[in-house]
Amino acid sequence: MIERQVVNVFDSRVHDSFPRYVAKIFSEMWTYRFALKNFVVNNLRTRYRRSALGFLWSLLNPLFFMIILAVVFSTIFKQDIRTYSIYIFSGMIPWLYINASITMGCQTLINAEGFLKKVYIPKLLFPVVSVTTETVNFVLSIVSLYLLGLFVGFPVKITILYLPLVIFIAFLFNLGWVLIFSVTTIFFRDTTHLITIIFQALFYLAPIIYPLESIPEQYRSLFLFNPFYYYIILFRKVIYGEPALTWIDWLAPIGLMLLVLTVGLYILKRLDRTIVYRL
Amino acid sequence: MNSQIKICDASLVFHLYSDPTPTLKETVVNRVLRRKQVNERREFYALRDINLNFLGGDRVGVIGLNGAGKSTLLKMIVGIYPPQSGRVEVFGRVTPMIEIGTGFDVELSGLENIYLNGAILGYSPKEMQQREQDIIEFSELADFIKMPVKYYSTGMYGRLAFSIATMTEPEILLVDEIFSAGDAHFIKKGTERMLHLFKSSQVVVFVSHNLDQIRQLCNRVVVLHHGQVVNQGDPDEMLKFYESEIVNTI
Repeated sequence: MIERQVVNVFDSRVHDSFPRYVAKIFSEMWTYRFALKNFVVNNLRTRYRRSALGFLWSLLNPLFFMIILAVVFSTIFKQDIRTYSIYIFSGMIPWLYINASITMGCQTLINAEGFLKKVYIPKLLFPVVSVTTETVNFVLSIVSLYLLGLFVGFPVKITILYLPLVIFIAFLFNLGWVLIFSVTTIFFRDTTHLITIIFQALFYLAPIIYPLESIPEQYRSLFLFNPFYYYIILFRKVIYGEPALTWIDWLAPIGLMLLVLTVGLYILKRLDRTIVYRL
Repeated sequence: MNSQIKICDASLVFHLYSDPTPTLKETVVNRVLRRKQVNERREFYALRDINLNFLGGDRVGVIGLNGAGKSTLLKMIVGIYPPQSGRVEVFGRVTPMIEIGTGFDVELSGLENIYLNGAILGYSPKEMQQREQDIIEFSELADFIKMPVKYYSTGMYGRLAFSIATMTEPEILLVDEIFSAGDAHFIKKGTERMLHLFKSSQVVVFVSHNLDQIRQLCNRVVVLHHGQVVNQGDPDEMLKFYESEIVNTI
């Protein structure tokens, strides 16, 4: 056994500074990385357990979903299926990713009650597990999007090289929201329902199923209030390749990510010691 | 390193809400109308002004009636419930045997659960690999170890949980009432294993209602009542005190 010197001090009056707290909880994530991996793998496995195709479904599901939509949309709107479908999905799949991460993430601390009250386990672990699970699903959806692209003859753009970076930024952005809402949900259980409704509204405040240009000029500024708008644009530029990606496209997503993540971590720090008493 | 648990003026308050899940609407409406929050809350001291100091060599028995705060005391030492006032200092690696088997995934095999359970307790796969053989052997699950835990009998489940929890060399051992699981044969084996752990750990805190076990295993006893330490000291004296002053006065 590895010998470790362990000193734990819990003092009701002593609070770590914010940077120190953040450093501490992220180093705890490193200690619990195997638990993280286990939880994520189990989450993914449970979804497709005992089905004949198993894990393959996580590729096939989004693929068929997209094929059906593509056929329907191109028939209704009489658009070229080749470019139109990729255009739509390069916005829709990132949207579904953000949406699923946040709406599923709301309940994550509440669902962890059985752990939090019985063993010492870092609270950050559960939001991280939840967002990681959705991120893995998202990556698989992206793979099936490229499969679809291959199928309809859409060329892979060089900007695909930016994709890991965008996913990394989006991961932290989603984590920030999940921290905010999973902690809020403990104190106000309605949060989850509110979030679901808000997301339904925000869907139409992002150019996902129609291009921004089809919106009357005077309403376009409304979109700018949608924090997820900037992510949809960035993802689309990286995947669809048009309009051209510039460095300005990165500013809002990175800025928002830092802001939301900081707020989320700050809320977690403030309520860290209270959470277990309110579950 | 000398293990030690030092608790200074620690209190732990549970707020019991008449409605544990307030809604946003209620709260906002009540605030706006300057109405008193309907959600009354009652304070309940699970632990009050606890001062304890456990040193290397201490085998501490904790006794008290149901709801006296015994398990909560252990959970405070582990860090599950941070004290709301006061201070808790723990020097040394803690092995909690509280609610063993937490986090078992019944869909996974026994073997996978060994690693999952280890991960939840903060052990790496490498550390668990070193213990894997011992755990399988001790639990006597043999080939069942590859089967999903949901097909296990209660006894098998308990044996696996017990084996995982006890395959450590703890510095500080916290035990809540679990002595073993399974049939007579396993209970005997499990008891031996526990006695070994009691001997090899530096500090043991043992919560139990079995006063004979406390008398046999502990060299120091703490009596808890309504969340407070009412007496502590020599086991025989404390057990007498507990019977005459607390058990017989209810």
